[in-house]
Amino acid sequence: MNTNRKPVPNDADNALDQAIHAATAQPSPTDVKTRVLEKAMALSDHRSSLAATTSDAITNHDERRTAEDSVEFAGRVERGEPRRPDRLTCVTHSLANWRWIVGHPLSRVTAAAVLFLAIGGIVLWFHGSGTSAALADFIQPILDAKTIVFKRKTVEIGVAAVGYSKVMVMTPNRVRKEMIIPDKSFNNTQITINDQEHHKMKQLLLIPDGKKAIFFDFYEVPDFKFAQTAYAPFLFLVEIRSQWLNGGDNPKIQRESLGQK
Amino acid sequence: MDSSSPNWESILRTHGPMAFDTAWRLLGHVADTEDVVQEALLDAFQLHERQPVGNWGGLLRHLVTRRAVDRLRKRRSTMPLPPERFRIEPASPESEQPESVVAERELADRLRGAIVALTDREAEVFSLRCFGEMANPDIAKTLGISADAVGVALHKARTKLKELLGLQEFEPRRSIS
Repeated sequence: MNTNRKPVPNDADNALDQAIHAATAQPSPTDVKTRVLEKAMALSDHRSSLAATTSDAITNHDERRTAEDSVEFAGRVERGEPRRPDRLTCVTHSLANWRWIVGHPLSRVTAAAVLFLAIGGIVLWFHGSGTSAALADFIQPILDAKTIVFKRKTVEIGVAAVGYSKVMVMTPNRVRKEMIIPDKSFNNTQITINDQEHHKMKQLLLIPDGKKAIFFDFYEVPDFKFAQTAYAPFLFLVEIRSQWLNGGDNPKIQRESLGQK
Repeated sequence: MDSSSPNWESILRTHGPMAFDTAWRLLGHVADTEDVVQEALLDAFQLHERQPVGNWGGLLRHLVTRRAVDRLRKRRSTMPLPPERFRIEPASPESEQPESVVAERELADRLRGAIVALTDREAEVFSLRCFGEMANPDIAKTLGISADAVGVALHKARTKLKELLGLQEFEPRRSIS
């Protein structure tokens, strides 16, 4: 689409042009023009009485303010400073006001100062206690956890991988363990669900590939077995927690920064 | 004062008449024009004493325009626009006759009254373009805005004036086919 084409004048445009022509066609009063310009030329001869002349010529307070505004504005334009809005009463001028405020040198200096202080504050924050805060944020959810889910990889020296486990622990005596053994061509996934109370344990073993579900009901389970089956995953979490909590005082444990958050 | 800046008298001789004509076209009233031009030239003289100015022609016309638009606005409460719609008289060879002169003056007065309803920028741009006979780039430089902004303001001003003067009925109607 050609956006540079000139609009075709229509009757309305012609009528408006006619009105403009009517306004410009009236000859200006030459005698008044000459008198005003001569008066203005005489201004340069009476610089010392300029203040008095100004007071005489502009008696109304609002007009004097307008005059001062005009001079100030003209000076701004000549100096290449941003245009100041003329009136601040209308909503339609808010954009112009905003442009003037943003473009004003004072605003720029203020914005630069605020930006500098903000950047400085952020740098100080991370340089000072920022890392500790990030570490605390990382540890706290683990310390507060009532259930855990983690993956465990079982390896055997000399063998690539023996199996993987996904363990979900709700309480020390309620554990769901999903074990995947990739080398097995069949029955490579086993899901074990344990629910233990005192020395009794109910265990459900699911084998999806074989479409099997085996239920075990154990009585008088010895303590060592109890620790191996149910407590072990939860003790793992307890151990991690204790390491993190006491790690700050233990010289054998080295802390490594995780970087900024 | 910078010695390289032009003499005040030469500035007035060169650009003063055009500034006066601009105010006259905007106001169409002898006493108002005289007041407005005096005030604007006083402003310009103060500026001349204070700092060098690149474009005295544009500056004078700008100062005069601002003053004149302000004066038009003050006049608004005492000279409201007549409620009847504006009638277009076809151009005729009888333009020198008293009736035509009166009609032309009325036309000009209505245009001046309508300018009051424009925003400051639109009024300034329109006045500088149509009454000050300045080109768009010169207006842009004088007002410290872009040439595009001048074009937009001028277009808006003309559209509003056509509406205010009741000229929209002359717009060609678009047919939907």
